[in-house]
Amino acid sequence: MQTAVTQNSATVENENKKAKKFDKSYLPVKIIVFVLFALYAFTLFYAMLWAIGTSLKTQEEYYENINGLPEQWKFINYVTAFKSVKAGENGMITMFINSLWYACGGSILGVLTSAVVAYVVSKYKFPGRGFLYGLALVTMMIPIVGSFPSQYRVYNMLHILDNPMILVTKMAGFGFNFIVLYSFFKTLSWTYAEAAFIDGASHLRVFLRVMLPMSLPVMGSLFLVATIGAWNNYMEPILFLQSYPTLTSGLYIFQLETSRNVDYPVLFAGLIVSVVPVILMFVFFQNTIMESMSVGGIKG
Amino acid sequence: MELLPVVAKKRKLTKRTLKEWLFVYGMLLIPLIQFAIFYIWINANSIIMAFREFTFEWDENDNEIYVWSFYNFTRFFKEWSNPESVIVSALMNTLKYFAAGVIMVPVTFFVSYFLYKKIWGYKMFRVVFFLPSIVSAVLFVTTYIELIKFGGALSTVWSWFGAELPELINDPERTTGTIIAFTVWTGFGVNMILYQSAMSRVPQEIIEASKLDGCPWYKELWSIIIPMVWSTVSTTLILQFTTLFNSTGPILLFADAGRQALLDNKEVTTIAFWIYQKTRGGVDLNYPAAIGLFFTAVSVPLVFLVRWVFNKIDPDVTY
Repeated sequence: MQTAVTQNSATVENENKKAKKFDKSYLPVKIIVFVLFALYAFTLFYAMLWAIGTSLKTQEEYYENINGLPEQWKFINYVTAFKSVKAGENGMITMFINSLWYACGGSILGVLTSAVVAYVVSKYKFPGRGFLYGLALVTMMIPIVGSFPSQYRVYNMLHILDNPMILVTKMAGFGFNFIVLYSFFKTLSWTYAEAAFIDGASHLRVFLRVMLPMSLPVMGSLFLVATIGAWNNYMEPILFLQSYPTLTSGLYIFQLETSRNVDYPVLFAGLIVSVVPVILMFVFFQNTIMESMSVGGIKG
Repeated sequence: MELLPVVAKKRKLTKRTLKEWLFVYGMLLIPLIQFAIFYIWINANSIIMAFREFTFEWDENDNEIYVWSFYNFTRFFKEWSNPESVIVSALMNTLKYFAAGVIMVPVTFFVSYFLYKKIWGYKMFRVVFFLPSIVSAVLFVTTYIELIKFGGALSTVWSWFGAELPELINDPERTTGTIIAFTVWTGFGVNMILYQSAMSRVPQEIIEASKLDGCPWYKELWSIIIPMVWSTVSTTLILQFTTLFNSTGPILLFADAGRQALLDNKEVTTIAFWIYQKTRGGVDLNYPAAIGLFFTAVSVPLVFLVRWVFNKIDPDVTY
């Protein structure tokens, strides 16, 4: 018996030694990778700090000492940005409002529509159900190249070009949001709905009062991801919403309109302001955002 | 087993079933109309536009008159046969962006692996590496342009080695490379999160057992992690192929006030960006529609072929 115990402890010791040996072989690689990661992180940090630093300089200081820290921190640049940064006739406040309805409005509509489609396709059996699910998958797989010309024509025909009504284009029931919400509703127990049906609730009431509230965390995380994407989207607003510049598209237009006389510190102040809402969302919902980006339904 | 409102068995069309269907189709009505207009109509219209030619005539209501024609395609194939044409140049640049995207897949995978291995400061690295995915490209591009221009931080670093940084953006021969470098610099983002998430689902018992067997890190990576998260890697690679002809960088943002000429420079453009620029111009939209249709037709079988190949080499690990 004692021999067995001794043998066992010797085995464990050997195993630990092996494990330690593994750590040793990993150490040099770990150091090299850490140095590379630190250097890469430094470049990103530096870029962000440089942008913040530039936003606090005077115009002269910017030209004389482009890489240095500001001698006097000109927070007034941020006030100036709100007064002087314009895209056409639209100031920063208007651009902020445009960003808000474009990003939040479009995301809410997109997520809600997907929730409606995902709910009925996952929970009800009806003719065409399989077709709709297949359609959602197939449309995600088809690689459409360059539909902008057709979009432009169709939006023009529907009079939603350069019009807030363009948000109807965001009400897509299929796509990434559908896949995520379909998986969610599929695994959500139907017992809650049955209990509500017994109490006399209608199908719509069950959806609105029972099932939808339970899906709010998933919908919330999808909303966050969609909002960040839409907030940072500059190509579509430049093309389809010329009279309604968002902060992202508007600041690009401001650079073009001011031509070579652009006041860089003020421009960077405007740019920093434009990313603050997204940074705040990321700070408060970091884990939610990262998790929902990782739920692309990918097994592994 | 979960009960559905309408059971799987075939049954009579009762009043209850009708009520359920009324609810279902009522709920689907708006999304389906939206889909019909903004997916089916737009894509069908793309096909129609590709086969229509503007006659440069207008009817009594001032509407442009178009006729059915293969003109857009003959024009395209004529351009295609000229190696100096915009389309050939745009295609070459698109392939460069695509190649960079494909190369980024294994690079991002390695980055994710070491973050998964909890390298020192991994929590901070994870957030910092993800930052370019959430911060507007307008801010990052404007900063990048300032950092790499003459007198900027990069040229200062360059001068420490006694060299002079060449013109990176204004020289069209270097512009695409500079923009690709930007996409690489800011390109870890979402894939990094996907890979880490997949790696975190690998059972720890397997990792522990391999450690006790003295398995070195590269064997752990090659023989355990890669087979177990292969489906995630293959999905991201398939996605790369799905967006092959849409591969591009933020070219528009690099063409700031002093560099508007870049927008029409054939050395810089890509297929997707060229179509976008033509749409911004607002005239002669049928030609870009035809080019879009051609590249869609090329990429559909390609994507399905790539999917088939990846499914064939899938190690099919379940855990």
